[in-house]
Amino acid sequence: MKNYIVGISGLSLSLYVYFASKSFERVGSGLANNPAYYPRILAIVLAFLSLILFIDSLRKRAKVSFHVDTELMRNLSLFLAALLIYILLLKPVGFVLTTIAFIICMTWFLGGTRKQAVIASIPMSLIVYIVFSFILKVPLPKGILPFL
Amino acid sequence: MFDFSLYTAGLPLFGFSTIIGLLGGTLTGIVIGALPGLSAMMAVSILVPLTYGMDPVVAILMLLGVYSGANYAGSISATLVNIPGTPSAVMTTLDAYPMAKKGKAGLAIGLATMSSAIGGFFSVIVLSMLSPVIARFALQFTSLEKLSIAIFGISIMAFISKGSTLKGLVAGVFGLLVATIGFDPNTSILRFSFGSIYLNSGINFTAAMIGLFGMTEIMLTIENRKQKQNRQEIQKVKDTFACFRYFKSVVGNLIRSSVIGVIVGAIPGAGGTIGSIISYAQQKKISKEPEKMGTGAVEGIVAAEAANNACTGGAMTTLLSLGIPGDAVTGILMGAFIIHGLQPGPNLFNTNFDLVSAIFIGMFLINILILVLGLFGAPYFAKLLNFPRHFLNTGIMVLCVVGTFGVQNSMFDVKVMVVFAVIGFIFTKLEIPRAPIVLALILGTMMEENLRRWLSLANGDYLGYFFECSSKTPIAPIVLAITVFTLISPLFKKKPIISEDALEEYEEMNKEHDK
Amino acid sequence: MKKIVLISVVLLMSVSLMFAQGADEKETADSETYPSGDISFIIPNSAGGGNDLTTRALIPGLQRETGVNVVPLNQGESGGAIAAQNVMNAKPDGLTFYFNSQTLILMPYGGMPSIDLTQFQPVAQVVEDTGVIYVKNDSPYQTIEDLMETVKTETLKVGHNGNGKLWHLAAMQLDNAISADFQYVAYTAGGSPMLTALAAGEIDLCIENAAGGRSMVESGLVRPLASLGSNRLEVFDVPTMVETGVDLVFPVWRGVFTKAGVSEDILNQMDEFFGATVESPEFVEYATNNGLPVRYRDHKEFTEFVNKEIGVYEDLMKNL
Repeated sequence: MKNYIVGISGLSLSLYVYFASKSFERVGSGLANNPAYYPRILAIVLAFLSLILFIDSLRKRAKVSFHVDTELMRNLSLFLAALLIYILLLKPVGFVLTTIAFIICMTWFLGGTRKQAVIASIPMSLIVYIVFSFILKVPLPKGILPFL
Repeated sequence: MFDFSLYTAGLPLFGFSTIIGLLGGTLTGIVIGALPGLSAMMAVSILVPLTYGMDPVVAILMLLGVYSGANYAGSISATLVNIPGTPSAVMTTLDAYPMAKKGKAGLAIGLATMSSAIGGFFSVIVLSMLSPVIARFALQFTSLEKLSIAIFGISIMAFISKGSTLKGLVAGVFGLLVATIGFDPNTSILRFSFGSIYLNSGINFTAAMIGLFGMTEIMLTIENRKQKQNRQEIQKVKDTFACFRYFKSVVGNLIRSSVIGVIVGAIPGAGGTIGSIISYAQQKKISKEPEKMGTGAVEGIVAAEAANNACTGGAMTTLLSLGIPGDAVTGILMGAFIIHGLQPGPNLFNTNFDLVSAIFIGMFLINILILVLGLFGAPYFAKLLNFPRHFLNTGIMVLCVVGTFGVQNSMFDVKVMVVFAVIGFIFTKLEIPRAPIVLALILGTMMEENLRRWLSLANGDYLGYFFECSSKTPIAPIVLAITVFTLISPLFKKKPIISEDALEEYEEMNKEHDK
Repeated sequence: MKKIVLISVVLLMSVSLMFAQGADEKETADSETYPSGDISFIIPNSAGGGNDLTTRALIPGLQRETGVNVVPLNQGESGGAIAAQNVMNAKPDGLTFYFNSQTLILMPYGGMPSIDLTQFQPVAQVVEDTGVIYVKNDSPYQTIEDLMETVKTETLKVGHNGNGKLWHLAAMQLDNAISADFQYVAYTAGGSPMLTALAAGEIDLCIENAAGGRSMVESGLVRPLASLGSNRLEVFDVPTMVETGVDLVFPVWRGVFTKAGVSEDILNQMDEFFGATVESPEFVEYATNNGLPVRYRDHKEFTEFVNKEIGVYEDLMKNL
């Protein structure tokens, strides 16, 4: 089953690469000046590998059953959603505030108690902010808090 | 008559901040390595961004400390809870855990510490003696040689990574394709950039690597979020110094395992895991009491750990002298060099002589630190295993985001990081190894650049130019022949390069680990 | 369920905070109060590179002169395209500085047609470097004249740092000036890999600046033949191309730009700030230690110079 998926996706990727590289502009002549040359070699190798995997999975008659763990999928989507919201708000709202909120959510989500989550969040985000902004000289987004 | 300047030129660089960086790095490495599930690869990748603001020498030495420290400390959780702290400690669990069960956890950790440090020492000596020689030789390498070594590195990586060779190769080719995003090296034409100006110079390597090895690991822990961490009773660690009583009886083993480790480490693509598997299998073959190995034998721990840490020096030899990462972690280190404006490779011995010298001295000190910190600190590192994982994982996530952002103050990179975390997760679910992607991302640009440059040098007469180049040095055809041979050899004979029982043992270990 | 509620509360909170922020816009600059706030100094490279170090060396002096904070911002993504775009989108209030070399005026030709050079106001030139022609140490060409003799009959392989990039253009100008017929070989990472390849004999010559080739020359791997500057170099005792009778000067300049549209008064104020900073002992010391030849031009001279350079490259690119 797994090899089946890998085979199909690998084949589609290589087909995409092969045809997308057709539109590359060419400057001068010869293989050296053909931007499509190298990606195409890779596409052919990938297609070859995927084909073997695909045929192999058919030959073994792997049972084509697709079992989705709904619990896991829900957790994963929650996790990714929280992460994306965090990233999108990081710049406009600022590092410290978003990170406090994010740490509370995540510590709780990953199995900590609510109390632990709240207590950990403020020192953790402040420490990261101070270390990056002042010691490592990587300015983090200040956002709406002018003093941090 | 002998020029010692290579071993002393770096001394002036060891100021206060360098020593602190070295100590801090090694300590951080040991702490991260001791925690199960956090590999040396993850340790180095999430810490690379922390070094941006630092002096290059401090930064590189700190990362080397993290690398060696984490590589060693995998043995601590291997001993105490039977989970390798880093993948390369997998063979250590075979004997260290049974020994700990007999109440001798201190001895097991002591032995691991001693062997790691000695393996490390040995590899630094080899590194400092051989790399200048190889570098001088490698200065003569032209595009064709570099191309063939890059192909060799990626094929080997795919070949020996966990899981099937085919899928390893798929991961490698995927990484190579990702590396083609952005400007074409020869004509400056944009490829696969989907009209986004952010993709002009391709995927940022650091972002991809933090996604693949930092964030993905955290995503994988969500899966068993529901399972309560079974709090294992963790043994008290004492008498770590007892290991020296066994020193005399294992000297031969130490040397042999270190040699194996250095050689395996120096092969592009192969790293500590392979080194310790081969060394363990070798020891079992020549052992007087092979039946005892796996039940808490001293020689088992020594063989696995000495080889494991000896790989660091081997991998660094390849990185410094050829500019090709010896394993995935040194691949990440190579990225760190480049961030600091240093191009690893034979020319580094000319342009940054004192840095190279400082690396030799620093790696020597790191192994002393491992010995001292390990023997005295093991009882405290053992307590880390009780640290609540949700704090740790949240902290790592924040570091992944902030670290990626810090590379070039780019939110786009953070998004790239998340995309690669998802890719890493899916790949792991499909049992495709992740390590070849990282190596392919690093080697991919090098591979295409050298291929295209060689083609433009050949100016149409490809075959003729190939023979012309090969007649000067036969390195390229030899390396290419070895690559082809390794790739097709499984078709003709059943026996892989690593002896089968060792592989079986390794796979069994993995199964147990996965449970 | 609780988690969803919690996350959405946080989301709502943050969004409302985000809207609260956008209210206060800064006034456009006037010269009386300039500089009215912190200055952002955009560096189109990652931390640690040459441009980054030079910019950071300018900052202490600038802060002293202007009396406000000058914040360095490294924006190295996409080969500096994002940084350039941020300058184009900045307000013409003189509070955004941008450090770059001729890389900036090459951008529109290098796959970034969206970069509009008229949006950049040159403020001050800081450095003027040049290229050096290097050959392998045991190469048959002892002098630049030997090389010029050979190119009449042979096709030599010249290394450069990518199509349409700095050293490619330098090599093309050399090609035109000595009527050679070079075969061009790209080393995208430039510098060290290119010089190593030269030492390995893969190419016959290459052009790099003096600081980049110095250590290789000292270790006896490569040899400088001539420089492309208007004056002789301090580090290498080699003739300039002009001395050998070839009309070729290839300046490599670095300087500071701001968003176009800043008033003349403010530009004059900037001249004072940068003039004092560039000539300050600390910056001169930095430049000497790093082998950077300091060359200051105020905004009028620099604008004139940049416009001339844009013309030169336009002609070159037509022949690419």
